[in-house]
Amino acid sequence: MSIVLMAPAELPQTAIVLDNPIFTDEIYLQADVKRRYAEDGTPYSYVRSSEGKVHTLTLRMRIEKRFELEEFIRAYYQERWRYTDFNGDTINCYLQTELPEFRAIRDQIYEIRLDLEE
Amino acid sequence: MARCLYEPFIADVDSPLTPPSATVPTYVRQGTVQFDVGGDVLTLRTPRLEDTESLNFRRISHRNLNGKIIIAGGQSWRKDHLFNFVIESSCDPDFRQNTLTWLTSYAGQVATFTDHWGRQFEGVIRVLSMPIAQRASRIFQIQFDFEGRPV
Repeated sequence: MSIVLMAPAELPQTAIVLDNPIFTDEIYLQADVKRRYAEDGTPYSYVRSSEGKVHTLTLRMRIEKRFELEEFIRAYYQERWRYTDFNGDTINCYLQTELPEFRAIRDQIYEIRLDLEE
Repeated sequence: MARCLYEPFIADVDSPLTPPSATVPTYVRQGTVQFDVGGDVLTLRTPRLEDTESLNFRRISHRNLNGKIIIAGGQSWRKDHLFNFVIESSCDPDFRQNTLTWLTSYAGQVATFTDHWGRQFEGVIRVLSMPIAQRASRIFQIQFDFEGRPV
């Protein structure tokens, strides 16, 4: 099983295939809720949310794939990506991670966490 | 497209963006990493583990009133690599003093860094207060951050 990243989303120029995220992938909502109280004690809620969700992927790869993903990020860091997950669902998203970090976990095996926001 | 090999699929589309290299870079694993300032070279052993490389690329990221993320940037904007290495080295007792002398001499100067894959970067060592600890007899551990861009 695999996932596919393409960029730019509107007219894909490059596509790369990666192994499935390890463990599971996470999806969470993008919402900000603030509670405020008037002088008479009446509570008010202010909600700022979009329909977009954030997909968090932890990927593990060998050195060749690590260089490929690094080149992909370098080329399309500011562009919208098209992400196809292992279920075949496709979303358009931005890379939300500000400092994508490749971490060596074993000899020539790297791990990276990507946050993709719709 | 393979899942383990360097094999991006690059379409023939008219775009101002520069796609990734179509062929795998010829990187060969090195036994050492090196800093070079004007020919004065500091050589350290290749990290086995605990090396991280972050992509410190500049862009503008903000949210509109609905919380939707908006990102903008330019292809020529800063694209630095940020390294954090932890290296254990077996060496003579003068190693620590020589390393500190080298760092003091070239603090803030632009160094050429050759990493353990043979890639070369030009930049500066970010943290000078790095620990150089003696772990055992003649075994030293050094940790450093380096920020630079590919040469």
